[in-house]
Amino acid sequence: MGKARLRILLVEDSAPVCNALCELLGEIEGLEVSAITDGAMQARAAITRIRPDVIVLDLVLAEGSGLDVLRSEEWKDNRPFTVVFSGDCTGGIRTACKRLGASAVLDKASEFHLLQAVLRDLI
Amino acid sequence: MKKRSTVLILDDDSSMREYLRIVLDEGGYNTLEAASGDEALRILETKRPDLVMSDILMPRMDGYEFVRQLRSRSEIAGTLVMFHTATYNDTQSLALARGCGVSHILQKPLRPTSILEAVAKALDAEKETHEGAAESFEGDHRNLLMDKLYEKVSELEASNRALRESEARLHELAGRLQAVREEERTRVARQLHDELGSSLTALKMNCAWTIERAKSEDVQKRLRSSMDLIDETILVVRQLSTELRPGILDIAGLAAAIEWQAEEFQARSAIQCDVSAEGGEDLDSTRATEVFRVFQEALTNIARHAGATRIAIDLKQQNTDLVLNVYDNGKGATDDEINGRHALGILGMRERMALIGGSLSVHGKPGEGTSVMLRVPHTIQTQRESGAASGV
Repeated sequence: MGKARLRILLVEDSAPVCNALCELLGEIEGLEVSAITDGAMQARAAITRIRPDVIVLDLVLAEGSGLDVLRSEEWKDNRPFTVVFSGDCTGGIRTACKRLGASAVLDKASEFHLLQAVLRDLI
Repeated sequence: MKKRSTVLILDDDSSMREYLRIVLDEGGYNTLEAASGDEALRILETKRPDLVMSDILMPRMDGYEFVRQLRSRSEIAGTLVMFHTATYNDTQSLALARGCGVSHILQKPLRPTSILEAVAKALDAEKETHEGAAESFEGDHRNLLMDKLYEKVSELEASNRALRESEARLHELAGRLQAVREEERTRVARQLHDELGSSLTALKMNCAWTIERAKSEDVQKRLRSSMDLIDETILVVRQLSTELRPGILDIAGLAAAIEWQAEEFQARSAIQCDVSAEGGEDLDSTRATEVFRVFQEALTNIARHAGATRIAIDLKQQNTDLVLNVYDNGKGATDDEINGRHALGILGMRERMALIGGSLSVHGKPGEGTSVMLRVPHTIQTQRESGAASGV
């Protein structure tokens, strides 16, 4: 029997990106996308419900923003590994995300191979 | 020998003129004659009779109009006038005559004795009558001027009121246009970023997924070339979207957006920016946007006009106000550049601040740079909000 799978919560409001990302992450052994949400409130509820190992978090969401999720108090002391994965990774945003406790901040369009690498390391 | 007094007889009826002339000649007076008010006024330009005996009912210009015109010409305004009439003998006519400084009225039919007595009486009382008439005339004139003045002041007040209302409407309109423009920019930026940007990102991910599975090197090469093209397109889309509305403003707030904009500006212009940005977290989106736009405009002005090498940017909370200071070490803006008719950029910045209840001050010192300070109170109701509340 293999070791426990790494459970991912994907927070992303774009359907095409979501599908493509699921395909890419599905390639990685020992990892499963446990839930997908497209808003900040839903994401917070899912975190409490499924206690994911990793959150892949977009910043611009259908409701609220990724920063709202990072600011969430409920899981502040037991934070899952959180990768901000966004198309808005300017210097200021990277700093703001890191300040709020993001484990990594990656650009959606140019650094998805790094996302794969980071997740592989966690398995 | 006593000087003979001269009487100007004004009557459109020639037989009446002749009758009066004969009676007055007999009474020892010199006489002049006029058949109309116009003619009498012409005579008065060159001659100064001691008394004008005027009929009231005459065609074109009646006796009252003649006296009104006479009183309006300063050089002859004090001329003594007596009316002779068969028509006007009611109280109102007498009051009207007195109103224009004619206190002697001779009723027809005219007997020679009564004519001469009336003329003598009028001439004897000339000084008193003249002064009375002049006083009355001056009084009336003053009242008339006061009435006109009051009328004009009222008109001016009404115009000022209309101007102020129009100005307020223009401010509202400018605010509304600004808001609509910002909403439109935000909408287009979101569509570019969310729709086009996301699709391109997904496309690139799909290419990456396909490359892993492609056996042919040619196919892999073609896919890599497509990914490069997608990267370039994503870059253009992001640039357009950020120019329209920087996402950082909505995601990370004003302080982060100002830091980011300063970095961008420094990279583009090679002007060093020292930034200290804190506060503004609880500023609503409208105010944050306006402050950010004014900041962008300030940077644009520095790049275009200041010739600066260094900028200090300081955003901080001062009691309940949010204050942003931008100092540059350039040549220093002149008064004309700050307040002149062509200072449209600064006017636009002031308008933006006024819309959110804030203020903007700009000071330049030759050779020592320019400072721009904007202050936004947290609690004041903005023009835009009050406009929205009233359904504007």
